[in-house]
Amino acid sequence: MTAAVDEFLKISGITKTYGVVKALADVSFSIRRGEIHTVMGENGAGKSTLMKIIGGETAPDSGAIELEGRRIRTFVPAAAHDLGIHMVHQELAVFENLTVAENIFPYHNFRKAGWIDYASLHREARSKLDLFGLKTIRPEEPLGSVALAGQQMVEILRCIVAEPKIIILDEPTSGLNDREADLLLGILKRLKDEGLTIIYISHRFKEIMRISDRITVLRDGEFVATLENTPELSESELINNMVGRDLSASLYRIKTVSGAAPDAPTLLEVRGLAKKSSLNPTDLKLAAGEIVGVFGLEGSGVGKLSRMMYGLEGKDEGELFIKGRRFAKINPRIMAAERVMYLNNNRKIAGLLPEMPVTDNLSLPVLKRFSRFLGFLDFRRIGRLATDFIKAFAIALPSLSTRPANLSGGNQQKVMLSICLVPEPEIVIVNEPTRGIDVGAKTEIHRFLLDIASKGVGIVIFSSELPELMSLSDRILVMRDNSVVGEVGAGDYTEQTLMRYAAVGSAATGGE
Amino acid sequence: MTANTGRTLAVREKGKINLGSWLILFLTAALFVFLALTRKNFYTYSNIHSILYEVSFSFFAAVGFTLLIIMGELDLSVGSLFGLGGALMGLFIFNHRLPVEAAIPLAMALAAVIGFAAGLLVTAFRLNSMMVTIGVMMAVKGYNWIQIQKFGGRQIPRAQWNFITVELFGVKWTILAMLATALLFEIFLAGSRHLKQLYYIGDNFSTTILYGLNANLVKVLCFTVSAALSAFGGALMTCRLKHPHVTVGANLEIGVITAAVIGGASIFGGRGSMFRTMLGVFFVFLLQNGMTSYDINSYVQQIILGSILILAIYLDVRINGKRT
Repeated sequence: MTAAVDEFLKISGITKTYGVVKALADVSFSIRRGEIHTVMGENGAGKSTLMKIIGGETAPDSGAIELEGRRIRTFVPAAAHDLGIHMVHQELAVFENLTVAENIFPYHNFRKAGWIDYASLHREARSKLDLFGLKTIRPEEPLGSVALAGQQMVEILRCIVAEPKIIILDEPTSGLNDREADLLLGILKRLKDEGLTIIYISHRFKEIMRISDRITVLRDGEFVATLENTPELSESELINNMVGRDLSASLYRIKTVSGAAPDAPTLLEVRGLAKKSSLNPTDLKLAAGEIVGVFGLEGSGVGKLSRMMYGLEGKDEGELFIKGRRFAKINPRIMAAERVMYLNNNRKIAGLLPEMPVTDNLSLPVLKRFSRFLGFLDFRRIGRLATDFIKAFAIALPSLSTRPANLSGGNQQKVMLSICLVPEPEIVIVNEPTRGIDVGAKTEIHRFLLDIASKGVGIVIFSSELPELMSLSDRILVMRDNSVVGEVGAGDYTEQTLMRYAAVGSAATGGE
Repeated sequence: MTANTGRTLAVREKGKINLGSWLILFLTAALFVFLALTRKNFYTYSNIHSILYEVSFSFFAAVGFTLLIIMGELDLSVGSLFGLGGALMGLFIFNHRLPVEAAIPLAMALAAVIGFAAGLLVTAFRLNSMMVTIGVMMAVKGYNWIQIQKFGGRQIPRAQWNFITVELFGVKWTILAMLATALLFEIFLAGSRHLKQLYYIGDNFSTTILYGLNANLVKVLCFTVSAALSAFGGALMTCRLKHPHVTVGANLEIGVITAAVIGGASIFGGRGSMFRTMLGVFFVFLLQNGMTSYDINSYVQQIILGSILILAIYLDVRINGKRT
């Protein structure tokens, strides 16, 4: 029995509930053979649940999935693999202590008289890596020493060598910089041309519109539409489908005039911050009410700078001035005491107390302020404070005792930003403030940041998303090779200028 | 309305029940009723009182242990340090002719130094707390044996140990001290920032560092307190025995970790209660008392206690482990 090409993978009436929460409600659509089909939607729209069902990680409550006309009845990953469906998760499932080659072929036998035949294992791995143009990755090196982007590619390679019919990629570019994402998209396109069917999940409009054949939008667990990716398809049409209301044509309004007052006092000054082989002497000045953006590709030193200026990583040289006061020693305790807060770039590693009630999360940086005799906490005041912040930041919470682990990414991010703002900081260092969250939460977070800046808070924002930086920052510093190589002020922003600084280190055109 | 209408869809309750909070009460009550119904002499005031009296000493080895396990650290040296309390009592009373009111604080202070050093190794040098405290356990145990053998069974004079027998309202004062300590810590753990932050540190250490808590200092202090209170319990126990003995504190860490974990603490950190740890210690002693009353061989008792520890850890991993 052969199914129509149009219904290579047919999803019909899929419903899935978790407790009282409906994650998917009667979702039906089909995937064509050999297409790149993007599934979009805000966080919590049901994309991940649907992918888990297709990938055989969880069973639906009702509804059916048919592959080439045959209904799938067993929902375990091994069964999905047997059918040729492979999934690459956003959080990579790799063996960091094994070599690249072993990661590509974890289930394959390269044996000679009972011993592993490393020569042919490495040769095979080499040829697969070459296929993806990954010349710099060696099959023999441990995967843990490969950059994130490389690990991602290796995990995709592992799926490819199983010769799948369908691969599911859950936000594969979220940890990659533009150049790496570019490489990945090129590879995906080639795999598609070779006949592979790809289900793709992403929040990045540009790459979605570049790579997809069709785009399915989910909202609140329901199917909204499947759109053909024709040249007429616009970003705003997608966004409107996602959020179900008009968010105005452009997601980002590029700043053309600096929002900071010219005579605003300097809040923070970094002088000669440096560390051997990871950061060249760097200066940075931040005025009250100013938003300074810092941009750089992966490995440019942006991450080091953000961590070093908050004391999360040791420095060799340099000093910090907070409102004119000199600090030669920098650590988070000193910074927090000086009302400098830090929004971490990875909320899964640090920034939240995942298993503690939201109220406890919010009181964390201000425990001292809310304690009375013998350190006893004023829970009523903490509750009021939490209520205020939850309202101000529109955090969707079942109750104050909800734990962040049970929230969607967007709400987690808002809780984390709230934690940073509870101490009423004068300076906030913000690192990838909207990573992996939906457009709704993203625009809200942007609004909050602009709002606190207008109240005189100085913000240093590190982001790998240029449009985000251009819409928030009053000026943008660009880093390359562990140094700041350029500064662009509001009004002069173009993606080309900034990217040119980041890529070649100067604004001059031509001559590459 | 905001963009968040209906976003509760993303909320996924994992439906995990916190067995820990009820398990220990249920287990203790069940064992208690069982023994009361099946053993003639169990449900008498003097028997219950004497069990509690035993528990009251060992409990002090479980106090710091509980604080540390809440932060995700294990202190396996509590048993040896309990024993050290006894060894140092002998040293100060026999060799230095100090009165008991000086000997106990001194023993605690010396133990505190060891705890402080262990804490420093765990925090500043980032060594695994379980391994560090196993090392401390071995080293201190060795010292205890050397010291106590020198005393050759010598008795502490009555004037020095007499205070241990003091009773208030017909109850040994150490039992009341245990109850007061458990209650006090319970209250501070629930409501005071000084101890509440232990749960935060246990839930996500990096987060507490990020927001300016001095989590390493807190850990070092708790290792110090753990050692000092363990030595305190051991010193009191030695007064009750009237002489230092090498069995004081032997294998106590096993009982303490069992007590804390069936009392709802998690080896993953972020959970634990002083009151329930106390119940846990009571449960362990009740069990030993019951097994003895059923004439169960002491080696078989070890097998059973070891199995219970494994079961408790298994439940902990099932309930609290692998959080996503």
